[in-house]
Amino acid sequence: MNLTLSLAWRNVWRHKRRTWLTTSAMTLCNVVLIFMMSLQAGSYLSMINNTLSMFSGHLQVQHPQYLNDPKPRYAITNAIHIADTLRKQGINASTRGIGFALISSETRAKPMQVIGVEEQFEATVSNIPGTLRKGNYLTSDNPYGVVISELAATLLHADIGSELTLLGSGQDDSFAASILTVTGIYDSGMSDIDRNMIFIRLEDFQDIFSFGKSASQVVITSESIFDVESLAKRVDALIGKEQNLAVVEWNDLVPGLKQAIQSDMMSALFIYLVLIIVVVFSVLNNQLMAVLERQREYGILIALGVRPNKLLFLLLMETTILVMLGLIIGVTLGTAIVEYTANVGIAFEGMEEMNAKFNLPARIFPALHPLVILAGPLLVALGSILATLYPAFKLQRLSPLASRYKA
Amino acid sequence: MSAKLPMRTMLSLASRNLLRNKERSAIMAGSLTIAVAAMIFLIAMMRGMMGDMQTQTIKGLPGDIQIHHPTYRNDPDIEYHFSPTNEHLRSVLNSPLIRAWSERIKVNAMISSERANRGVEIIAFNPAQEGRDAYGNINLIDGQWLEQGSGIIVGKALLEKLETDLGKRVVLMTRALDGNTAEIGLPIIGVYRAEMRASEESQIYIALDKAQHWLGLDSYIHEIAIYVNDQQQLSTIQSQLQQARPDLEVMRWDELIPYLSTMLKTSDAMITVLIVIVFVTLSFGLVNTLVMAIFERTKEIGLMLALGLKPLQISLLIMSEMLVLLLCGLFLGDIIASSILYLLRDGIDLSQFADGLAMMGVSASLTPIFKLDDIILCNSIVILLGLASSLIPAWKASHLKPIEALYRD
Amino acid sequence: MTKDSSLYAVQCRNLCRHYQQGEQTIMGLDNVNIDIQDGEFICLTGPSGSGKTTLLNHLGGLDTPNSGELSIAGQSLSNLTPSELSDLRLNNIGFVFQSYNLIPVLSAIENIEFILMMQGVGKQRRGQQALAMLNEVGLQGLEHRRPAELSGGQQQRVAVARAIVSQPALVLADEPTANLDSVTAEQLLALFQNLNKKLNTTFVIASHDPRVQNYATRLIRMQDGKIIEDSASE
Repeated sequence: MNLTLSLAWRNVWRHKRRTWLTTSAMTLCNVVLIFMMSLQAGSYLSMINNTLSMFSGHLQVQHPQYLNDPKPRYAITNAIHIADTLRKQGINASTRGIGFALISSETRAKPMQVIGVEEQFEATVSNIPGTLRKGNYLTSDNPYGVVISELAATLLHADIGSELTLLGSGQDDSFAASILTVTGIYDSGMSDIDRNMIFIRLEDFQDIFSFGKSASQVVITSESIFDVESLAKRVDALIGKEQNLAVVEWNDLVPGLKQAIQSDMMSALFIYLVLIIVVVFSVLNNQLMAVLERQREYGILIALGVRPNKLLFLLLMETTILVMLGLIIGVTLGTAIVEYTANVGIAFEGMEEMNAKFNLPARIFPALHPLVILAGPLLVALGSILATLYPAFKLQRLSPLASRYKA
Repeated sequence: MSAKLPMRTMLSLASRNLLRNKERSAIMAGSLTIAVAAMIFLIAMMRGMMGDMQTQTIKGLPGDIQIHHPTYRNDPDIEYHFSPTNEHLRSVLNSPLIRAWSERIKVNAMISSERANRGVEIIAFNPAQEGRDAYGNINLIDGQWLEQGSGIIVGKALLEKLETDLGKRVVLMTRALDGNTAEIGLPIIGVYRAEMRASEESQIYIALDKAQHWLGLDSYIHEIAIYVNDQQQLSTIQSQLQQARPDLEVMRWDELIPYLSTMLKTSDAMITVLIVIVFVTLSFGLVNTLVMAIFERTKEIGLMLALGLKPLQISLLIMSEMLVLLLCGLFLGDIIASSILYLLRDGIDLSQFADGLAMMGVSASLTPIFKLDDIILCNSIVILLGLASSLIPAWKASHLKPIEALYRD
Repeated sequence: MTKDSSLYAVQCRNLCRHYQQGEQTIMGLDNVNIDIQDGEFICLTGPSGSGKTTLLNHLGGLDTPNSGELSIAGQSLSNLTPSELSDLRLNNIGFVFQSYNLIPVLSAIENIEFILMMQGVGKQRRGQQALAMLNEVGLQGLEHRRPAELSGGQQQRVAVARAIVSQPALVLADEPTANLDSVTAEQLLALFQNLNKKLNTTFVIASHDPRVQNYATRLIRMQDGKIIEDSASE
């Protein structure tokens, strides 16, 4: 082993208790950082996935006005053609028309959002068809069928086979009216969707709401949240020739989601920062003590002709060893805890109701990702090494005599 | 006679010992200061956020307590109404415990302008009888408040969606009590802004008499919203109301929105856990400093023992050193945190996160809540943890053999 | 507090103390027997490593023998708890150690006051007593200096002042004149003698200094942990 390294190693162990105390502080901090960050990453990912895969998708092709002003008249005229083009490239895409109408059963009436879907493709972009509790999803054999939520079924006093009257206005402000038969009942578990949305076939929708061949949006889903940007570029290129179209990403489709995550992250980051500062101060103190108690020794080394630079390097190496101890133990423990909890999930009393509010499952599963695991510990390490520059600077100013005669 | 070591001497010795290694003490006190200031700040922010969430929720419900027909909350249909004319109920409602109350009709309806239509919730109340509380959490930005029999107040967002304007007529369509579709045309007399965009888009206000007449409800209503003077009295008032009308459902806000109280409790627990984690991490550093201080001063401790100081007094001396360090850090931390909170007393603008905060039920301006209790709690946790962490070094120091300590190299 | 001087007679019977240093066993005390009467002025002499300091430490209850019996006023020290030993040292014994004597964060006068404070003497009285004591050892004007700001001899004198300020029954001093010039040394020894005569204070002083032997009423010579000469037994 290199002599400097072995000297540094021995120096680190001169005060065993001090070294272990500092290492423990770093380890505790690293474990907490790893666990908390993985837990957060896990809950954010499932929040994003649950929210997006239910209805909005990761990307949508829309009329440029539609995002800010979702009116029937801001429609895409060749939506199905676009969806077909994308599907030929292996991208999950489906077209939707969206309108408002008063939906009445025999005894009840509720204003609701009517979604016209391409019934054969809807399941590739949305989980709602998969949450069917009763009856069948929309098929071309069943024209003017409608799928409603369990909640809507209760509120409307309707069931499979019930007839619902639809009253609204079409794309051209004409009167839109129809009678629909309930073929299926879904339960998405998301109250915004359950309370407001009913689904019919796009063909029927275009007919009822006078949409002609147009639609409101083409919904696209991505394999993973991390691929959305590149997918957006691909979609943009594929539809590039078309005028008057916008490719909108999830953070614009559901602006609250990203901000909710960001504001939650802010307060967490604040705590992490405080924790890191506290630990960095501990390491700084440790190294400062080491330098102060070894002044005489350093004086001798300098008197022997060792350059102060070399001493600085030695000190930084000691810090690095110290920090690596905390990092290795912390990461090992932290990863083990995350690995374990990632399999079983975490839940506590009352969390289910709270999580449902944020589209989270009843148990949270921390995400095991190298970046999330290493980010905190690396920051601790970097901060500690930077902090050591202060005692190192003091060391630089030592003169051989002064340090020899100082007690 | 036993050795006497007055507290004052102990503290003076402790301070002098801390000053022997100024840098080391400064680093530890600084680290304490940062941690304490940050924690107090964070607690105040969280309190502000949670308090706001609670206020917004109660305002948005609205009411600290609501009274409904027992079926209404599961099936908010026009038919689940009740009659508020009941002497017993009136006397409870008009008791001094209750700050305000309002009778309301709530029905879903379609609103149509010339250009568009939307689903909305109609909220009807008696504008002559109740104050502004009845409107929930809204600010009128144009036009006027409701009067008996007048038109309709809509949100700015809805106004834009409907592409209509103040003074124009809109048509409301819903099912009346008799089951037939009822329509009414009303002028827009007021436009409001709400903290929550969702409610701005979906809630409209009309006068109670108009709605009762239009929907065939006579004097029936769907909801009584009640504001109390003192949150502590909530359960008492609830049971009084329940006694007055056993046939109705009387619920507190925390029963109406169970996730909120869970969330408030969870965040309280989370805060405590995080504070403890931060300070446990910090206490490793503190213990380290103390252990080193004792290590450097072994001879001195030996001398004190030889002179007749008791082991317990040595322990106390070491602990008072920790105490002085803690008090310095806490004092500075408290001052810094209080100054920051004082500067932020008018609230922090978080409008860039408005939508996300709205999703959590928080408004875009956050005012930290400075509670003495929290500061005392935070300071006590630090002092307790700090003193607890000094126990082991203090114990070790007191068990030094005077002769070995004194002659150690 | 009354000091019935007859209570502080010291008796050592077959005192043995050995230390382990690596493989070697070092005999600190080897079968030591002494009787010390009240009011004696004893000079303990012998080469370094002969056991002088070890004996002083035993007499002060700072060290415990491996075997043998040490009793003060008929009471065996081995029966006392550490806490009782602390009280004994505080109230009845004054120490002057060889090297590390003073608390570094306290000034000269505070170091002396510290003892009085522990004994429960009031603030005003202890200030006066401490100042008077400093004057007696010739340190007037230096009372507010910290130990680091005093010379070795000055530190030694502060330590002596501290040892005798509370008028203990027994003063144990390890080379108290080592860092002093001859004039100061004579003054200090005269002070000891004065106390010895006036208050019947017992002094046990470990020293090579022939001047100390001049003042002593009894001379004990040690070598390799044994007493090889005791003027009292002649």
